[in-house]
Amino acid sequence: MNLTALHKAVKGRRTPRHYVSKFAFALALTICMLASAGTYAQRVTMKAQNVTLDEVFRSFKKQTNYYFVYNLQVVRQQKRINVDFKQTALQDALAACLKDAPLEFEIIENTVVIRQRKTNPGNNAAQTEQPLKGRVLDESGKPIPGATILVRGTNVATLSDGAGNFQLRNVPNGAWLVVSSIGYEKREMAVNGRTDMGNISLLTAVENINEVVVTTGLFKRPVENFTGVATSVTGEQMRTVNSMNVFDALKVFDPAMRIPDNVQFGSDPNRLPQISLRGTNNFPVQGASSGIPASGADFMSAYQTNPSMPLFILDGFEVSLQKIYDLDINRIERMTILKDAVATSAYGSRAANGVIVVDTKQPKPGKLTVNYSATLQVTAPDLTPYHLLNAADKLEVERLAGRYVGSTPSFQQEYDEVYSRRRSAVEKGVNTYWLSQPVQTGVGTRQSLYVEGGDQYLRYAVNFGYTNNRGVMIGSGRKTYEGGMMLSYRRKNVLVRNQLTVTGNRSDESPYGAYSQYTRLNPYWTPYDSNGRVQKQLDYLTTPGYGGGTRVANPMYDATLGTRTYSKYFGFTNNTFLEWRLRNGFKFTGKLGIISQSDQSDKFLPADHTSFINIVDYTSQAYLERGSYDKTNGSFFSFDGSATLDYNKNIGDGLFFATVGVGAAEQTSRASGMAVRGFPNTNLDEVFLGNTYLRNSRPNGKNDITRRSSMFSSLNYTYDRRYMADFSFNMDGSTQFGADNRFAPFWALGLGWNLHEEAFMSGLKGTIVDRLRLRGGIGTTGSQTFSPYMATSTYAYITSRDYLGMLGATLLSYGNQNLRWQQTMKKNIGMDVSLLKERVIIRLDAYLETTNDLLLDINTPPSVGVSSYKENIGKLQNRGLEGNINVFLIKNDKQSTFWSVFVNGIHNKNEIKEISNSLQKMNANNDKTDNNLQTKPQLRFEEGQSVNAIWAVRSAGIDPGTGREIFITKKGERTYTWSAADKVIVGDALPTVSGNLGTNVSWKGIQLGVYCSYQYGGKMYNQTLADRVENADLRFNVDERVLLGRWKKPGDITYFKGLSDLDGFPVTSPTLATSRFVQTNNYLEMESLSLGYLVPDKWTARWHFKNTRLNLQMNNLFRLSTIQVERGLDYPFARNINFNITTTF
Amino acid sequence: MTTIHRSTYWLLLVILFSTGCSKWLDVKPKTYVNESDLWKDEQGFKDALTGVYVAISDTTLYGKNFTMGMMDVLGGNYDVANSFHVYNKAGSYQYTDATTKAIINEYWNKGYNAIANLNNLLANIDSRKSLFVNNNYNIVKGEALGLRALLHFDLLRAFGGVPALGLDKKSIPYVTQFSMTVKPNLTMNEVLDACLKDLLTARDLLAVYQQVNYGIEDLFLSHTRNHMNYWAVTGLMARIYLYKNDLENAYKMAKAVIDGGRFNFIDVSSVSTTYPNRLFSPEHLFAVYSANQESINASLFKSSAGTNNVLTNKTTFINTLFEIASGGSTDYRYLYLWKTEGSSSTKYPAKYWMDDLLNGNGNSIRRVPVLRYSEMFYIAAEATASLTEKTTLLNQVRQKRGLPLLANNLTAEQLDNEIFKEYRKEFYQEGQLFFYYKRKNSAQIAGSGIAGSPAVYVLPIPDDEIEFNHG
Repeated sequence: MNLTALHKAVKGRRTPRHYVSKFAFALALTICMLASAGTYAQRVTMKAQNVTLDEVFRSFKKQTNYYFVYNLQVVRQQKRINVDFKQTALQDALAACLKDAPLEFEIIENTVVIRQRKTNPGNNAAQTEQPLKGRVLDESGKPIPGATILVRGTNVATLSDGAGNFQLRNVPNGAWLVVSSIGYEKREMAVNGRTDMGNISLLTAVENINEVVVTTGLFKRPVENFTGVATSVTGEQMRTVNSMNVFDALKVFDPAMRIPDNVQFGSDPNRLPQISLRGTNNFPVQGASSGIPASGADFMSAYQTNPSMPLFILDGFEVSLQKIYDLDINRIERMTILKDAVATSAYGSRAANGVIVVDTKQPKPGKLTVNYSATLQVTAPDLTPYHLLNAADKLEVERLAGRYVGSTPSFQQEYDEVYSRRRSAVEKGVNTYWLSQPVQTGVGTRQSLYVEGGDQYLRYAVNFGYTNNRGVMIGSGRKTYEGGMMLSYRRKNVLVRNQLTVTGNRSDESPYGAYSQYTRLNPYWTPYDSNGRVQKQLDYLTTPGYGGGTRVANPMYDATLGTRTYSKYFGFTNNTFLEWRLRNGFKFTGKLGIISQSDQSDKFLPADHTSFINIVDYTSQAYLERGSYDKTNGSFFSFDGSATLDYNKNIGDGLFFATVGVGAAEQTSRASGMAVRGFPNTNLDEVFLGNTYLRNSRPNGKNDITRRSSMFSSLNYTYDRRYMADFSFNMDGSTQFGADNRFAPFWALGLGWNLHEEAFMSGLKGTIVDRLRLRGGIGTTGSQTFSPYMATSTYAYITSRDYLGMLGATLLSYGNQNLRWQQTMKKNIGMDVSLLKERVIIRLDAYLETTNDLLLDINTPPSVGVSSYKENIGKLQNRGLEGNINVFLIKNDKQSTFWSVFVNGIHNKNEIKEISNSLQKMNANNDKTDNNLQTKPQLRFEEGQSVNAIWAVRSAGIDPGTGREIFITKKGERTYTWSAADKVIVGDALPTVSGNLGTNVSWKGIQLGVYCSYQYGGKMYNQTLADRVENADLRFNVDERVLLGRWKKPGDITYFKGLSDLDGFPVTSPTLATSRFVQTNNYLEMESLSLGYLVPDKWTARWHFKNTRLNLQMNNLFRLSTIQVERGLDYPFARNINFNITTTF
Repeated sequence: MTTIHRSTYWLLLVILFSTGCSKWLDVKPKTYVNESDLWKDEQGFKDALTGVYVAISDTTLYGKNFTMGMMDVLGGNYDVANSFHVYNKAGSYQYTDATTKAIINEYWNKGYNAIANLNNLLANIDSRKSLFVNNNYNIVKGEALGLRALLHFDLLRAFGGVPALGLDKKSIPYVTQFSMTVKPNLTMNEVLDACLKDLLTARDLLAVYQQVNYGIEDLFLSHTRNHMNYWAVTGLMARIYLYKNDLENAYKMAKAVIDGGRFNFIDVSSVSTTYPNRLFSPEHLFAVYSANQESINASLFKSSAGTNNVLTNKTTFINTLFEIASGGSTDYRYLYLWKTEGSSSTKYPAKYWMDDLLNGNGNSIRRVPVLRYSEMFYIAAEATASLTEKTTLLNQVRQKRGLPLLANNLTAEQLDNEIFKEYRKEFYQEGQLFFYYKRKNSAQIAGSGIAGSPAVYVLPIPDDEIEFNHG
């Protein structure tokens, strides 16, 4: 028991990292114990110069085998001394050591307690002369020796003896005792004037002192001993940044986590974010598409669009991105981002993209407590990225571009008529601001109720959550209902816990359709007819001399119909834990998690919808097939079980942790869908009311089962608090890989060195340097983000055709039995520094991640029977530097006043090492595609280059003589001709550095936080200049820059091409990918501004409220950028204001 | 001590767990069939073989383009002069045209894909011989080998060189394994020998079942003509020997079929009835079953196809083809295999028409002939040196086609011309004519008037094959 006691104390003694600031205050109370099994020896010998008291005590401890209890921080602040003892009695030696220090000691049985000397003894009238007695016992009534009994708020402390008894002197009547022992839960109790506390029983701890551990989801390690790279953020910190969105809150704390803005879908609440940690380990095109959306609970569902997505672990079990996205942020206790091989080692085969671990709150014992949190979110569209022309200007642009010039007088007359019609509309004041038509200021809400309570044995918690996340497009939103229940029961060494969560969700798309429909409409059109009704057709665009025309639909009309575009799901998660504390430092944990979810998505458009506006021939079949209903149903079921055995032990000055475990999981994902056509009437809005199936379509679907089994082991050894090592080894097996390579080993090795524990640093210790640690880790991780069954040759039955009544089976693909796991070798070195009494905290890491054996298609000659197969061939490398600095400009723990600033950043470089011939072919195909696709840079992967490189033809600008663009060929020659062969790398979308910065001020319960994100040095192809300025379709509205800086006549030195050429004809050739439009994408964006106030309890006591906190947050308030580009093409970006109140009663 | 005990216990558990895992990880997908599951019983092998039949009856192969569609366009049988016609470029042998190229690439890709299916079946059959009952092992394996030879031979006829210009030129790979190892191109002779080797084995295997059935209980055995049966293998050997210019063996094999006594020419009464058997199905040595033939026919050989897709020819062409002016007007193939629609006088080739037929016509509809009984007579006639026998053989066919008999005094050249004319008439809509021109290295393709040359006769191997086959 004593042995385990020691390491816990070591753990507890350590300064928590900056991100566990909550516990920074606990520091002063932390107590160090040095102890070992007791024999009797009371004389000490020691001769040394200039040693610390700490060192002296350690030496004494070794010689006497006495426990030493002292506040390490206080002891370390004392002056160094010279000692010379020879078989001196322990008491005398201690007295000599402490004579110049403000410390005194007391020896109780075989325990030495060192404490601060009373400056003015006898001053405290309330103190009783009689010593306070008590006995510390465990649940079964056995005495706990060596338990610490501390008088709260003082340095008065003692230890229980071998029989669990203790005595304390000078305890004030109204004092509280804090009784703690390693492996047991801390207990606080009021003295209430008693002199005998009687039996104080302590419960076996459910969790080790969790404020100082790194949790990897499968096991925990003391932060101090851990050599992996992990960022841990408490739920409270996250809620300060953003009380609605988990990922937006988390990303501020770690620069390695990147969520690029979704230029296409802006702030659509129904689009899940694209998250990556430390760059991309896959080629972007790799995601295998299965044709039908999988259930949102399917772990694989989001990999298809983002093969670099990290693994998500919620309360120890793998979950999908959607689960975390819809998780009530108020339930989060802590999130941990695991980045390098050592930290992620437990997830071997799944960890290549990093791991994000979420722990939810566990109920605390006590009387029934209700925590309530309400958030009101006001979300408003940000229309500043759009710079469109108004009605008069647009008409003028059209006139200047020669759009009203006819080649014959009769054509001219037609043009004149159109022009005068539009002109008169403009004169009448028609200037429709289409951008504002489909948007709203949404008011969303989140309500969370968390009820907890219980005693030493039984604890319970119930939670309810409702989130209504309103989008800025009218009618779009995401509603989530959540209910949960947790029970934990403990008896002696066994703890059983069950956690059930039920979640329902409905996501609605806006009936107004895509936002891009609105940005193109001309402002001289009006959405309403003369009667004030929404009109369906805005204009009929014709070209004189040509038959037919284009109907311009009013997308607002669709909102007047009964369209239905939504998806919903309902599911539950049940997690069961069993923990059994065995003797000798062993602990067994069994876990079983079950996830079940059913999904449904519906998209109904009636015949009257504007997407069918051009089908006017009522005799045609197509006319009967107007109106569509697409329906998909999905379901997901998974179970995941694991058993782990933890062990820890002290061996001499070393401390040893070990975990071994086995796990197995199975996921079944099903989906089926159908497309039905022909819904003539809005009221016929059920799928079975359709006329017919989509022509030549059949129901589609899938049914995938994947299984995984894994064994993992992890060892951690720390010697003398100075040197640590982590080693882990895994064997993972999965159905997704070839029968010949079903199991793969993964390993990781980490080493760390606490320089601040070294003697040569002791001069700086406690004054300048608190902590200086070097770490290094290396290991392999895998990724299984691929569709199952690639490794076996599979047959499919041909059901569409028979052969004389027989059904045939045909080979689907060549199953490469040799397929191996895609392995990422991760190397990391880093350091943690804490200076000036935790005022400056720095963390730096450098990493090199090489993904070998990337699974890519290999093109084969078709004569082998197939045109391609999967092989482990590609190789990608990411290397980078990341860092974090947190500085407390003001830090006054006593008054809870502080002001801190932080900056973090990452520099990542990506390099393609090896590609397959299929990617080379893709490059060639991308160059071959017709000009319409070349108006944007095409993906291109070349060895030695970055995945994010932008390939375009270099431009020498616009020729002042002709108004045409001059290109520079690969050889450096100038030409007017654009050729795909001349494409070179003209920039890299990856920034030189990106990250976040911010500041936090706390004063008298008022808290102010500012969090910004920045990016520097990345390039971007300004697609707006290409699509909406130079290649602008002038029939529709365009960017206001369409007229700025355009070439008009020979001699003009301009940035943009002319609207018409030398001879006055309109320029019709599109602008193809050119370096002219590659711009630097530097930005600074305010992610969050938050203002909080902790209402003093005395104000709210009347209503029995406690811990009442008011919070105001403003998200995405402003953005400074070097590039002016339309963002939010199909859905605008939003700015949010959140009002949040939390209270407890 | 307890510690050690405990760890050993756990270690054991871990080992137990992990060894039990391999099997657990072997998940059978629902949507698909794992190959190990397919090879579990006889039915699986039959299904895989049936899959190949379905694959080769696809429109890209024998179901359309390798027979009645593009191959017959290349034979000059249709009028595709309309420049918007989908086969217009093919009609003038512009193989670089994208549409034409795509169709040609499909021959290669689908052909070799079918071969891969066969190879995977063949790779697994021998070790599971015990799964089969009766003669089924012989039949399945024999048919698979026969099909492998058939496909390779047809790919060689399409993509290989002109045989008359030498058989030692590199042509195509002969693939006998389903693996990703690139197979080298062999000389034409090597490919032909490989075909014959497979066919010999197939013939030996299939010799156990020489009946030609229709409509017996066992579905698998009930349509012999639509399987690569013993006689089809024999007939194909005759065709290949002739292509190789091994006249002796060609004659031997053709005679083996003729003398086998299992096939007869169709009787005119079956063709002139209300529900005519236009496919002459009793004469099929091998025909693929084409489930959606009605729609294929409608998209090619009827007015519904539209002018840019329809395949037929002018009346003058038809009249010349059937020698109407010189006694050919009684030819059943002229009388019964051409039809008009409504009041229009446009004639359409009607071999595959089935609008006027009943589904109950079972065996005589939805087939595309690949090997015919009549071809055995042509092969034997071409291979024998005896002029009398040539005449007799040809007259045997002519008589059954309603044509006057040939005189006994024709020269070898005249008889050869008669054989050519038979190929033109007999194989209209069947795609064999082009290969006749190619084998003969004819100076001109009669229907199109274009001069024959390797540029016309050798279809280009797909770019993908050239790019990735460095073997």
